[in-house]
Amino acid sequence: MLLLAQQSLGWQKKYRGMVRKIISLIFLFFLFFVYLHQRINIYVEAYKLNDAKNTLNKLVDKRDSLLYNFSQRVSLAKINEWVEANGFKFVKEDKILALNINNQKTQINKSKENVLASSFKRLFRLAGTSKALAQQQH
Amino acid sequence: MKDKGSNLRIYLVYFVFSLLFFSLSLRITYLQTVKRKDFLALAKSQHSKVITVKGERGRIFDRNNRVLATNIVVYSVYMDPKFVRNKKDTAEKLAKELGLRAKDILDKLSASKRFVWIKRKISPKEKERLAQLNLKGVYFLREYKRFYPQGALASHILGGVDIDNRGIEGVELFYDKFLRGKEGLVSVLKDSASRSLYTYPQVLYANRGLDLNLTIDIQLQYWVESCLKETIDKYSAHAGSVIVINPFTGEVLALANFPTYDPNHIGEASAREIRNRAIGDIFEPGSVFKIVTLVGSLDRKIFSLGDTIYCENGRFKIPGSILHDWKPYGELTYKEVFKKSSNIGVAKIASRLGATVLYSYIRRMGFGQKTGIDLPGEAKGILKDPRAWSNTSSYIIPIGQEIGVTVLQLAQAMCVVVNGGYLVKPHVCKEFRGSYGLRKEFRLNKRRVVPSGVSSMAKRILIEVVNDGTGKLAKIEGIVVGGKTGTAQKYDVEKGRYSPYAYRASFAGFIENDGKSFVICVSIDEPYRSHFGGVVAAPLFRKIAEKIVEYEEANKRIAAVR
Repeated sequence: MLLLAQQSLGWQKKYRGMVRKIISLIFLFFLFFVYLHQRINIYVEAYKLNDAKNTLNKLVDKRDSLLYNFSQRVSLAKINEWVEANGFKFVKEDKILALNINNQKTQINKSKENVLASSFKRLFRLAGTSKALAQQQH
Repeated sequence: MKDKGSNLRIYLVYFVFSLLFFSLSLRITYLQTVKRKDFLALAKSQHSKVITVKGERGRIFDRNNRVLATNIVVYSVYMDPKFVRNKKDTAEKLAKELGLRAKDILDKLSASKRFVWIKRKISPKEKERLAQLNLKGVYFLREYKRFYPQGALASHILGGVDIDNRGIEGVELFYDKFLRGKEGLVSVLKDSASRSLYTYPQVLYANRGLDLNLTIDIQLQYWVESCLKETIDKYSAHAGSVIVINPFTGEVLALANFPTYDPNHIGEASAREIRNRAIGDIFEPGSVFKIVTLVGSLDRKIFSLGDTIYCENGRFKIPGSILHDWKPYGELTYKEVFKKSSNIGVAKIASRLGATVLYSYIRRMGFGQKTGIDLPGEAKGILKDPRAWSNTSSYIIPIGQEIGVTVLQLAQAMCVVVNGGYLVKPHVCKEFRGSYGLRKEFRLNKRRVVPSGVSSMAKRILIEVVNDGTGKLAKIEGIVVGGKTGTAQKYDVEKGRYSPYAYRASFAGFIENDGKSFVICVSIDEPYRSHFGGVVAAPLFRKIAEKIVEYEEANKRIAAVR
């Protein structure tokens, strides 16, 4: 009986030891799994970040090429040439904006007139020189 | 016997394997301990690397924050010849897309280097087309390219940069260390295809260079440049320069030269076009230089305004030469001498001053030394020490011969007359702006050289020169205009005498309107049809002055609205 009890105790000890080992193995595996998971996550995030950066770069490229094209077409020299070609002049009086009075051939409709006038105002910062334009803006 | 033999074989196998394991263990221990650092570094280098990130160059604006220089992203193509399979085919495809010679690319590919540039700074469209070809061993590098949206406008002030974005001319060169961005470092992971993946935070942040605000008004600059070009075309002149400056602060509002160039393509511009003539070209000023004698004689009080000087009927013998007036004069009052620009009268006034005193006033007015403008390539002019002056020198230097000046020096001297007797340092930098609201403004640098009473008297005489003298064509109704014309014969170095055909027409003047003053200095080199300063340069001065007056009035109205 005593022998049987001793045998059972020894087996129990052995069993506990095995369980501990298995648990520690599982724990180690879990730790290793978490570590690997994190490493993979880093790469996944890196790829995502890289994609985002590439998208950003593409957008910046687009912005720059638009800026380049815009500047080529609407440089100060070009605006001034246009102003001179259309006979704009500084006037002494306020609230006057004359546009191609003598040139009857050129027909500019109202909406176009606004665009031209606002370009002119932007160029010379003449906001508020024309009462009519000021009302239209409001 | 048989057992013994088999036992021996077993022991032998056991021994061999033990030895093998032992040596392997030794090797592993060696690699893991002694060589640990090397292999760690190797592994790290294969998985990650530190790359440099270029800091963007600071932008340049005019005084009203209009962009004059900015950066755009472009691509540069490079190759690793090791990964190129079909070199000939690759070279041909690249040559076709980039407009290069296939042979040049092949030569580059034959080099033993692992990195060769194919073409720097191509457009995004070109890059897209090239990327679609999917060529092995061909890579792209994102770079910044300096871009000047206003083209050739203000090119001599802005200067330009080289392919590596380093300043080579103008403010780009002068303020290069402020404009240049600081390089940063970033640690990146590499995947199996050696592609860089941005993961780790930056080791060292790349800093953008400081933004620079110039004193230039680009609208004014446009008018100055177009008026100058008009005059150059009208008189088929060789070259020309104009400077518009605020006489009280020394702020250069416009500086134009002809011929000019586009800083976007500075590599294609010739040295003749790039030269900033307004600050670097030395010339004999002629009658414009008489303002020095005017200021000096007024300060020394050797003449009163009503005193008369006999002008020898246009022919005056001086040691070693004969002085002529462009028109024979008899008795002229002190004022009339300057109004009519009599060489003989001025020479007589200067001789009363004496060589040493005259020299001191020449220096005081800023001649013979650099003005200190913040632009590279400034010349200090030519001014001999009075001990080296000949007997003729003290008669001809006052009328602007035997002396070399720049247009900027003339403008600076005119500022002395206008601002109450201060020699101001001309400058083009208004302020620097950096991150976190950092601002650094230019400090006003001026020193008194003549009393304010003297400068205001000189100013009145110069106003009369325009109202009723040689500078009549510079007159604008309702505006205070003063100035001095100058027509100088050019010295022919080859023939060793003054050329009868080559002249330089100049006008240095000022306008005063509504409490604001502007000094405008104009110089036209070798004009044809006419060569007189009063005919060629004075009308150009008037055109620019009219534009300034109109512009200032418009600005005033805008300010009132705001």
